[in-house]
Amino acid sequence: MRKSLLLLTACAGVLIFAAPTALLATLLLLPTALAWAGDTSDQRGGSSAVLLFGLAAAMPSLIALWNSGHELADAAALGLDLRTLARCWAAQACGWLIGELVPTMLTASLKTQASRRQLSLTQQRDQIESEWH
Amino acid sequence: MSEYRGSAGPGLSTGPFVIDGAMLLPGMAGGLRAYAASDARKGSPALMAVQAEGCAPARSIAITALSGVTIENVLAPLAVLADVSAPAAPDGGPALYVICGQPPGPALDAHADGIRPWREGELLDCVVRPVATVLARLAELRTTHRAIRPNNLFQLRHGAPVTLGCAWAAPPAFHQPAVFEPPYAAMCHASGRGDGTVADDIYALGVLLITLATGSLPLAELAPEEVLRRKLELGSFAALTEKRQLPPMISDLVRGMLAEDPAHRPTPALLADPLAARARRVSSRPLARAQHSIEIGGHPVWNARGLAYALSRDPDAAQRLHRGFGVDTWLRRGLGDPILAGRLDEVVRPGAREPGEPVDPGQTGLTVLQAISVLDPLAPLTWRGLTLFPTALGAVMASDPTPAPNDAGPEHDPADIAGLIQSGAIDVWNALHAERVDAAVSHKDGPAHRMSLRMAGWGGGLARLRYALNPLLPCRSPQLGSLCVARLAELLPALERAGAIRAERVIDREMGAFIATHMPGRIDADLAILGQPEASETPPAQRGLAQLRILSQVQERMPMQEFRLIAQAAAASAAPALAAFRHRRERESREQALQQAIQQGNLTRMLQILEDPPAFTADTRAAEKAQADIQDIEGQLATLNAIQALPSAHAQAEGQQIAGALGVMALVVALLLVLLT
Repeated sequence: MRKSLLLLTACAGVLIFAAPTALLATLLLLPTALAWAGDTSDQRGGSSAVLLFGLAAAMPSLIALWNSGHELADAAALGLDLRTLARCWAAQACGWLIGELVPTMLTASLKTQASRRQLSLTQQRDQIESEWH
Repeated sequence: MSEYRGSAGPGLSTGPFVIDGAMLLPGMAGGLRAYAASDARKGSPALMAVQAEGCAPARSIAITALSGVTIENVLAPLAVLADVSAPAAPDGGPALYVICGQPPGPALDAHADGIRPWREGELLDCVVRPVATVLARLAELRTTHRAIRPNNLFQLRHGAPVTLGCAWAAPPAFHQPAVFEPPYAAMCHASGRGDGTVADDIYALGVLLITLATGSLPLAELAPEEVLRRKLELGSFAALTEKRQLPPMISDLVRGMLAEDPAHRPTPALLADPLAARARRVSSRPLARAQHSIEIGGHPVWNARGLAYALSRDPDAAQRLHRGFGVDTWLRRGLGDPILAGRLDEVVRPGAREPGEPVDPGQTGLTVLQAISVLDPLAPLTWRGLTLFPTALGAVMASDPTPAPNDAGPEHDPADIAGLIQSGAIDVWNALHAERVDAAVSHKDGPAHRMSLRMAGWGGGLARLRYALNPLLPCRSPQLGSLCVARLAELLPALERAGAIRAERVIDREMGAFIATHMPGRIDADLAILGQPEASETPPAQRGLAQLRILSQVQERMPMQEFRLIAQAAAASAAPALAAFRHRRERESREQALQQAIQQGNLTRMLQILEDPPAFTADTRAAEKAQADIQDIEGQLATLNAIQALPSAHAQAEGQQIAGALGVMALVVALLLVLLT
């Protein structure tokens, strides 16, 4: 509750004092917002990766906005530029993909290693037992 | 001609002897079976092998005493053969053979018309002097003959000195008719007469003189029991010479020779000079006869020693003594001997019981024994109807419990012998006859016998004592069949040859006792294991190992001999011991080695394979280490199983953290790129 209040306060501040940045960020990080809304986990780790990749892709556009005078028209132009939009959304899609694949691969890797060790130990045990019985 | 060769027994000539099993020599061994024999080295054919049956063992003490000794006019033992190939006894049992010379001529009773009457001079020159000389020599060697009777004395021709026959292939006086034995020996079990003293031989010589002088056996028409009663009632001389006319010289000699007390009989040295022996008069108080008899056991009793004998034959003797069946009154009034009655009362009174009070059989037996000794100090030991001299205990234990034809006693129960030993009756009897027995022997006899009986397992008990007291007694194991084994070295070859080995148990009780006797102390612990009941807690493999330990120790005494059948049978019970080795390859290699040892018939090698303490210790330690390794592996597997069971959310979080880290890296790279451009 307290975190949500802080977040709302920060968003309201950005809207009031940096509306062009807010507009551009909203357009470029729309997939992040969707991912954040759909992420029901406690840590929201999956949407964090989407956000970070989205920020990395959006950073040049934001800096370009700030260097060009920080106007709403520039923000709209940049936000509606298909190449910029595609790059950002692709980056976020890539972040989402990494957030989904890495845990799965990690789990599979750990289980494979355990199985191989298990097999080795079982063979070792069987050999000892066959020698001593 | 069926022949076999055998080696001599301990302490005797070791030359090989050949027995012609087809040539029986009837009438040459005093009623025993004898075969022609020869010494292979000397080629002498004039030997004979006298058969000693298993239930009447040869006289080891006399044979040892006469080893290597040459005595004229007696067939001394030359060797004892106990070869496994010896012919069996008529009853199918094992038989030992005593080798001695053949008699020089026929036996004195061998004539078809019976025994001819001998003249006085002939008796003195051909019988008394030569026999007295032989007995004197035997006395020097601390032994006796105990087989002086017409069918065991031989004469080359008229006028030649007689030769005493073989007396070594049966217990002392075992084949003596009751008439030739002093009454105290005749009342004993046939095997229980003991070595006795030279005075007993003098008595038999006296009876022989009567027989030869009159040409007939005295009291021949009477049963042994009746002969004994007549001797006890009338005295030996009166009973044997009744209605017979003897030459005066012979009569005087025989009177002394038949004295009831052995101490009153002339010595052999004195008999060698018959005139001096005749002149020697021993005054002995005539036996008191009661005014009226007392009836015991259906027979009238007239004197104290008759009473002692009747009590020894009466199973209710104790009750008769305790409950006042008139014995005390008869002694005081009938016999007129209140002193004897008082002494008897002193013995009997402490053991008196009130009616209904429990009776201690051992104490009762001792009371009867002491009462008989009081009534007749010369009487032999009596225990529940069994009468014997203690030196003959071994022979009685080896004998058949049923009475022999010449035995005046009843059948005895072998179990009573255990009671006789455990009750200390032998010690009591020895103490009561301290002046007549060898103190050096008597003091240790009883305790030693009791200790043997108390020993647990097959290393003790009656069987062990039987073999200990009869060094020449063949092993009675049924697995040996009719094969005669009297020495330990002959046991395994005979067992292998018999081929009737039981797979589950090679060593039985008899064989165990036989081995324990010949290997004292070394195998008692193993025999105790074998003697435990089948249902005991001892594992079968331990029994098998105990058996193999014993057998291998026996085999060690005969190197270079193989016993395949024994090895196979022993392996059947001992092989499970291999399971104690837990390492499979070790076990398999030992199994292979064991099979080889079995094929070689090497019991010692088998034991080394099955019982190897250093290897077993190493195997046990390695097994413990392997067990620890398995536990360690189990622990690791449990950890891995836990990893396998980890929830996917955890891995998901880990993976998302990695994805987040990648995102941060991408953000940093983007910032750097913007700042640098």
